[in-house]
Amino acid sequence: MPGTVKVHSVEEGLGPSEKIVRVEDADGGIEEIPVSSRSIREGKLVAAEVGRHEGRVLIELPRESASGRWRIWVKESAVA
Amino acid sequence: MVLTDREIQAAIENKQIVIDPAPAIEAYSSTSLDLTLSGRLSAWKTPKVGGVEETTVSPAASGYNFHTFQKEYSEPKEIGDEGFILLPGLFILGWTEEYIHLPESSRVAARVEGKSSLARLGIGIHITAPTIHAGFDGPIQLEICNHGPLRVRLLKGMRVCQLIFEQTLGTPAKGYAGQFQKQKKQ
Repeated sequence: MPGTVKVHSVEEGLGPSEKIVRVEDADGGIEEIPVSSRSIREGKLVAAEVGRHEGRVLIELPRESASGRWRIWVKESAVA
Repeated sequence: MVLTDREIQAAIENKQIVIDPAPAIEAYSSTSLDLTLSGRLSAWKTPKVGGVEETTVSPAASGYNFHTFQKEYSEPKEIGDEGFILLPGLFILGWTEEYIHLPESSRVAARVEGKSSLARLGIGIHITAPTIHAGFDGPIQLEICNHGPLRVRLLKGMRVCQLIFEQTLGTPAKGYAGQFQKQKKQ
């Protein structure tokens, strides 16, 4: 069951029902992900956890990010 | 059947799929594996239309010699620190940094596909030849084209394509010995 990850902001995307969410990675960088609005639950992005290591969580994004990533490391405190 | 991330990782551990350098865990998605762009590109020289250098290539003609043609009409490019600007309409050959080997006995083939992050900008990374056959051995050649109106900067090491692995039904009768095996970076 996918969990959720905190997002910095949610903006309108190009396509119908598309949103651009911004997620902070474990190093403080920002990843932009164009997603369906259905991938946003209570203001957070639905994402599946696929690994953990030293206080960081590897999540798989619901869509490929604008920089071409499917998976990013985020801080444990960012996931629920 | 398309292999999932866990099946791809198991196949790599068992050397049923060889990828060098080995991919980081971040390179996977649930059903694909991202590959990166090497620093070598190759462009076709643009023949002068209507001039003495105008050239027609006839790949189906008897005696067609691709090696001779490429020596005369291709131009190697290196992606520098500033990247390579792919102008609108420009077509260029590139290669993955990763070396791929799919042993026939593994019963695995693959498809190389583009990435949506690049596609939305107009960048395609193959032209109707996505199949990585069982037995393939080498870096993957990419036919990169800018179909959009924007100048797009290509960087060495960027995530440029993805592989979708599929299980074959049975083992091929003979080893793969196609002419594009061990595709070399020109």
